[in-house]
Amino acid sequence: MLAGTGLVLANPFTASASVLSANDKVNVAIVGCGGRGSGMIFNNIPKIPSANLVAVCDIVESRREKARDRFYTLFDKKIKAYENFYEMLEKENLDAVVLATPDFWHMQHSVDAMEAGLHVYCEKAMSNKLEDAKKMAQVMKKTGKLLQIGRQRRSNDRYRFTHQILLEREKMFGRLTHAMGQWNRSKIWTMKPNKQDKIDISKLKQYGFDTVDQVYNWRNYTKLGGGVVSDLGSHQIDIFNWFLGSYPHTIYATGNNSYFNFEQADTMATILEYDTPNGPAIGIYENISNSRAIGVYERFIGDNGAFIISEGKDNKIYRESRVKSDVWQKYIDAGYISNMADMKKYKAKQSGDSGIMETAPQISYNINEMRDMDKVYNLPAHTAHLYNFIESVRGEETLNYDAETSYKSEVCIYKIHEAINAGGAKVTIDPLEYIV
Amino acid sequence: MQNKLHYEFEHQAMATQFSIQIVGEEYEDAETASMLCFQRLDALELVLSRFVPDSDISRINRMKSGDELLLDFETWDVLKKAIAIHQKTDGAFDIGVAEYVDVFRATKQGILSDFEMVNALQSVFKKAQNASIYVDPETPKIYCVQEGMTFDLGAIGKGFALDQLSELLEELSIKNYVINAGNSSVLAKGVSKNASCWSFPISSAREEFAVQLNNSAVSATGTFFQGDHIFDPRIGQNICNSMYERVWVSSQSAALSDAYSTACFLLEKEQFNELLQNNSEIAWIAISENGKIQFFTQKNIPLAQYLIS
Repeated sequence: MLAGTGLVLANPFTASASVLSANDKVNVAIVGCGGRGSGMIFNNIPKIPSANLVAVCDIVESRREKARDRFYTLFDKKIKAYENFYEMLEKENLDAVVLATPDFWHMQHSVDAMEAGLHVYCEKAMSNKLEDAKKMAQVMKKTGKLLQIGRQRRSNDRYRFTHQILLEREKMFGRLTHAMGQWNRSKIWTMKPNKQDKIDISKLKQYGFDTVDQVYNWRNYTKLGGGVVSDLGSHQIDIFNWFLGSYPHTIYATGNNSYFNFEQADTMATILEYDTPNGPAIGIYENISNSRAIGVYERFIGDNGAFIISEGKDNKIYRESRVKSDVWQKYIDAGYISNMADMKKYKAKQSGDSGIMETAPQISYNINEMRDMDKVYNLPAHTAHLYNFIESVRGEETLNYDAETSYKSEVCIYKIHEAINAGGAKVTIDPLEYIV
Repeated sequence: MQNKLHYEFEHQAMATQFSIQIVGEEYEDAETASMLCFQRLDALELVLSRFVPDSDISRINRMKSGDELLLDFETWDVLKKAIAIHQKTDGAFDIGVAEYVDVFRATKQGILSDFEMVNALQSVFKKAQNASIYVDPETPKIYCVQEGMTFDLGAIGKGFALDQLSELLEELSIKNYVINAGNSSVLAKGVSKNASCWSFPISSAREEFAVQLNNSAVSATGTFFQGDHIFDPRIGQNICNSMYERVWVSSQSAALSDAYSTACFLLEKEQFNELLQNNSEIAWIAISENGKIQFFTQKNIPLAQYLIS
């Protein structure tokens, strides 16, 4: 019998390539060293062997210097830190920039970078103005440069598996009739500068900010960001559109800022009407900013089954009772899903034949192995999405979510804004509006 | 030092309640620091929880023989610590227990019968005995040479999170604080509102002591909330009668106090002095046995140093 060594601290192989030492790399800079930018610098980039981080950029000196220094400490690699985006483009030999800045900067930086010959990965939302989002997609098409938008669920293996195998190929859930989603959080936090953040007030206006608060809490200002619908809802409504295979023709929405009294709505709800290739469907979506209870997820209802999917703990697949269990057995046999908490391998007999005992739980299913996919990244979604971009720059992949696709979901988001701002109106969308 | 500012913030994460108390800072600075801590905590949970399917730990648990995986720095860090403590406790601390926990849960839910559970535990134990997982000491990378072991960081993750939050608070120049993970691990730095250090009670049915935390952490493991069945990873089985009602361990690191408190619950009292002697990072161990509390400290360090008289 093979005797295992258990869990040990050692390398089983004689040679190991450094995470950051592969050849044929894409020279990349990250713009914005806040929460998302830090995640890219320290969690995403180091897992992408073909990405070579050469510089970071942030208008807050302590943030960019901390990022530069910490990267050196953790990964033993020196990178440059810039205050000014354009100075960085001029001085560095870059192939691509990654934008993790406030929404209002996205269009100008994206367009200028693409026109300077660089590829761009831009965090969502594309912009806080629909016409700017459209311009970004237009410039992408005109220049032929790549522009990936950072809705990372599009590169999440489980979301891709659900779409590609369970929905499109197996049609496991029948006709999808409803998509529901929510993003509940306990409050809209407002941040103050850290004690060591050095803020040069005179510089803020140069970069489009009127106050220090705008730098740290830009999401709360209409001229800088898109509010909860853009920040949170756009991730999930994009999944509605993707999984339903269409875009809404009519939107009802309402919301208000009564809880926190910021410029942007803190509470909203919307109903979206779709004509999908399989028949009519509706989407129901809400944002709550005063309670984190019952969390963040998307839920889809079909006539043969339903599922909850999320980037957190809420993930479950349910079979509709009218579908016999042996019909879904083929999905279990194929390894796509598992039931009974994957404990069937330990059962001596069939479920229900183990004796009379306490009430058994409702049977639900989980995604088991993501087989038969075009590609499984086996990376956290943010990393996978950036990896897809870097590999597309290298010509090894095509973008999972380019600006033209993203623009269609941005149209929905801005129509929701329109309905909310009109005090809860019904808004119809001409199919031509989705076209760049 | 009278009337020091003191604020407390709470957050649900890792299936429990975390709290942060900050002393001597303006409210806005304390609130910003706590917000950054809680964001960090949520991010850590997404990386370290085996119940989040995209986490590093979930992806490790899905590895097949021959697979390798790049890890987040934090995952790599906690795995290295877990391996070190596993070795120092001769296997009493073990993160390779996820499938055992799943078997117990499935039995409680009625999915497995008691008979099936016993066979399942033997099967899991056999698989784990044959498994080989290598964590690269040089880079954040893990290799699965032979599959058969799945990780659950329940006995170190919350403590590790406290250490991470402490690091963040230091970066933010916050000096006086206590961070609490569901009352089972507490890490304190600097001074409290009314004293030169933080103090917390530890109690049994018949005794109570106030221990002082001077830039250190303490963690508890016990039967009160988890029942009297304690799992022993060294034999892959439950022990029906635990030796102690509760064990506390103190260390400068909450990851270490968390992990060692779990291990000590399975160790004989006679082993504690050897453990202390070989591991200077452990400040003290306390056990509650038949309602009485007994302390074990490093040689030449009097117990009085850790107690509030």
